[in-house]
Amino acid sequence: MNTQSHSHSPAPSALRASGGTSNADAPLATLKGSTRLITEFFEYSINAILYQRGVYPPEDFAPVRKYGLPLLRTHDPELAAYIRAVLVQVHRWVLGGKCSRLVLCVVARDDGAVRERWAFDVARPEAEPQPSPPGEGTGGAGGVPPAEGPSGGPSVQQQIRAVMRQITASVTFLPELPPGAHTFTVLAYTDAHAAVPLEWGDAADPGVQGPGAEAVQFRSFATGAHTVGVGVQYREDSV
Amino acid sequence: MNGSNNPHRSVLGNTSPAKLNVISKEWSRDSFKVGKRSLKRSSSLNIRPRNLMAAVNSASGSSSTSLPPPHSSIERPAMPMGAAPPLLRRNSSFFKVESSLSDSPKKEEQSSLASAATDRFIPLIHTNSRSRIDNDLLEEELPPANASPATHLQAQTRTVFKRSVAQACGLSVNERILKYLPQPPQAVFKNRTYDLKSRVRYAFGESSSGSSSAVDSSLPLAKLRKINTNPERILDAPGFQDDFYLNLLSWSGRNVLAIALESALYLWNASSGDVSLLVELDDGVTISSVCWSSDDCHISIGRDDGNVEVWDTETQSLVRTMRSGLGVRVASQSWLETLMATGFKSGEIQINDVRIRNHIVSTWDEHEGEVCGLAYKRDGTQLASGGNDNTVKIWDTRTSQAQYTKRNHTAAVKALSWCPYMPNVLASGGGQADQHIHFWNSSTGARLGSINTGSQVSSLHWGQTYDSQAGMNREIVATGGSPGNAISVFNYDTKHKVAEIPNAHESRICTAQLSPDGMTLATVGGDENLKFYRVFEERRKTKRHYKNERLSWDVVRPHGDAERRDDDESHVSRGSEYIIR
Repeated sequence: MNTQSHSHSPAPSALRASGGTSNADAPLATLKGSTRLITEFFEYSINAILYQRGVYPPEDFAPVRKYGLPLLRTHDPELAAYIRAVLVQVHRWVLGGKCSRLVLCVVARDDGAVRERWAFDVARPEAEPQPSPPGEGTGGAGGVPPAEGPSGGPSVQQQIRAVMRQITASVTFLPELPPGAHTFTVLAYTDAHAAVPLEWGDAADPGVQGPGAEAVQFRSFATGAHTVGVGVQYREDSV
Repeated sequence: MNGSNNPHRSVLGNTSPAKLNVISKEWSRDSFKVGKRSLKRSSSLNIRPRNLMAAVNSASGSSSTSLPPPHSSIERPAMPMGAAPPLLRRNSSFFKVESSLSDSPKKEEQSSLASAATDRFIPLIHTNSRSRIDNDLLEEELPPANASPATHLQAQTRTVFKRSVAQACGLSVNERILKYLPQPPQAVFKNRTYDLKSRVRYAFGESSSGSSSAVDSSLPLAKLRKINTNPERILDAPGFQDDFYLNLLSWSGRNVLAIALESALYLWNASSGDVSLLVELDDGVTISSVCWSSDDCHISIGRDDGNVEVWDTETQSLVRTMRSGLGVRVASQSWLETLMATGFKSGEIQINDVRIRNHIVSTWDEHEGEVCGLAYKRDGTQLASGGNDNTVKIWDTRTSQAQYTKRNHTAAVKALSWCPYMPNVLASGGGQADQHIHFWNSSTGARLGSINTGSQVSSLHWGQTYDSQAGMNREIVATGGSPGNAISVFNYDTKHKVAEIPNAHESRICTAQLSPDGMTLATVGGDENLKFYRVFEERRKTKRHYKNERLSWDVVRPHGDAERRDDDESHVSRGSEYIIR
């Protein structure tokens, strides 16, 4: 339980500072705040996927209210610790600009085949060309390609809410998975020179293979410093 | 590779590091000059022979610095005397597509070196594509500063080579795909597995609040129990079949133990110690299972030809023979009043009613392997069966349907035991590849807990001990095979092993039966011995906490026991307002 409280507590402040109040829908100004928001989004979306796809039994999840939505988060200490361990490292990578993609694979327990592959692409719209001070510079930079936040676009929270809604709604078209027959793995696409802790090792990312493989791209959202896109690959089992 | 590496080795071998440093320093300076002169490049094809030759030379020469280059005629720029030998490197021609005098100042040394002799390797640096050689990566693999230039060059070659290979294979060089290696937790959580290791964590006196260990702090401290590790009695069982799947032992409520030795069935009266031969089957039919009926005077004998004989032990006569029509051995049986369930090698379970002529009431064919464990629940509503297909099935006897099929075991399930004091608890134990005991709630199908025993589980029996503060301890005894051939007693609540009889038999224990008084375990093993161990305490009546215990006891008593009643008179009259007579 303490796991979430950690990653949870800083987030509201970040939200409040950015999108919440007076300066309306200004995107997150700082890299740190943006990374925090992304990590938190990862946490909730991973939880949502594990719940929606039946990877873990529903008793393991408890409802929480987040992004103005009722979401589910695990209260199983083992699983929570596992997700936290993953996200702590991903957070570091995203913060350092080393991580370009996080992939959650739903893997069949018996043959190890990837049944579903949820990819979260993290892009940094401003690369080097903006050496301006972090305070307002990134705001302007973020405004260049994706985040039209101040100019009437939806706030970050609204964007995230839309993505979470899509993830939840995806159950309607994804094939039904028998409960308990699947497990999951987490992959991270990182820079070649990122510091890698011992628990992480090189791996291949075969994706979803075979006939009937399909891909669906969801919405994306943009914080000040990053844009995050979500997509899922899956296989129609009837084929 | 070895051939081309040799010269460097010889240099290293003959000179001290300090000297080497000096040499390499002036060497690079000299060769720099040379390099300026000779920019003509040979084709890569004739590199190899020259390399080899030079390698041979320098390897044979004592001090390579003093040797003049032997074959200077072969298109080689003249080397000044006393200069270092040419760098020898076998390269693929792959990197020599464009000769580039590197313009980056960082690589001055390398580039000057590279151009020193015509057969040098010149790393290819695309000035326009910056990703080709990454400075970060170079630094990673950069040899120490005092290493010879050759080493540096080698390192750089390696880097470039790696990248070329990676690119040729279509891998992205600047990206890694990393996987979080630890396995995610198992999805079936509600039933946490307990294993014996958790005992180690059980620190005495430590408050285990907040720890995620399975041991609850409210549980009493684990205590080892002393049991006699010597058998109370040993009997010979010559010809006992050492087969895990058979059930050849049965102990009746009248304290008669039946044991099948090949084709003979012997009865041993535990109260008197008498042995009698009930029957010896003729024409080579062996007995595959034995089971006392609920009335304790009939015994059913499963034969390996698929028939079951029911014998009356009072009159020592055959009552009837029931034919399954399957022709495979009957590995397990269980009685419920007049019903008898038989499990066959082919996976069928037949329910026989011994009263009627067409005795097969129903046939359940859902196991895919030999049914080696069968046990009726005491109230008869459920039947548990375990098979060689590694499953435990709990059948509803009223609907003849398998209510639950449990596949947690990874080996044949022979040991099945319903708990006598908890109505819906079933214990099942797996064979050699599994070694676990699982506890099931038979009404919900949930797994209540697990124990890793470390050896195959050939039988399970519930028992009890008592202690002063906690009352009854619910315990279960398991008999095992290799290693240890031990009898282990586990506490059901904590899942800890509380007692053990190591090496109870010389070979694996095939089966075991608990005496009707619930104290003594009869075990029979592959060493053809039948041993009796005292493992549990005597069953006590569950005490109800009345105000006056003696009174309630007296009320229950039959009136014939006059002497006793008189004895109690004083207590009764003092303690209560009830009138007894």
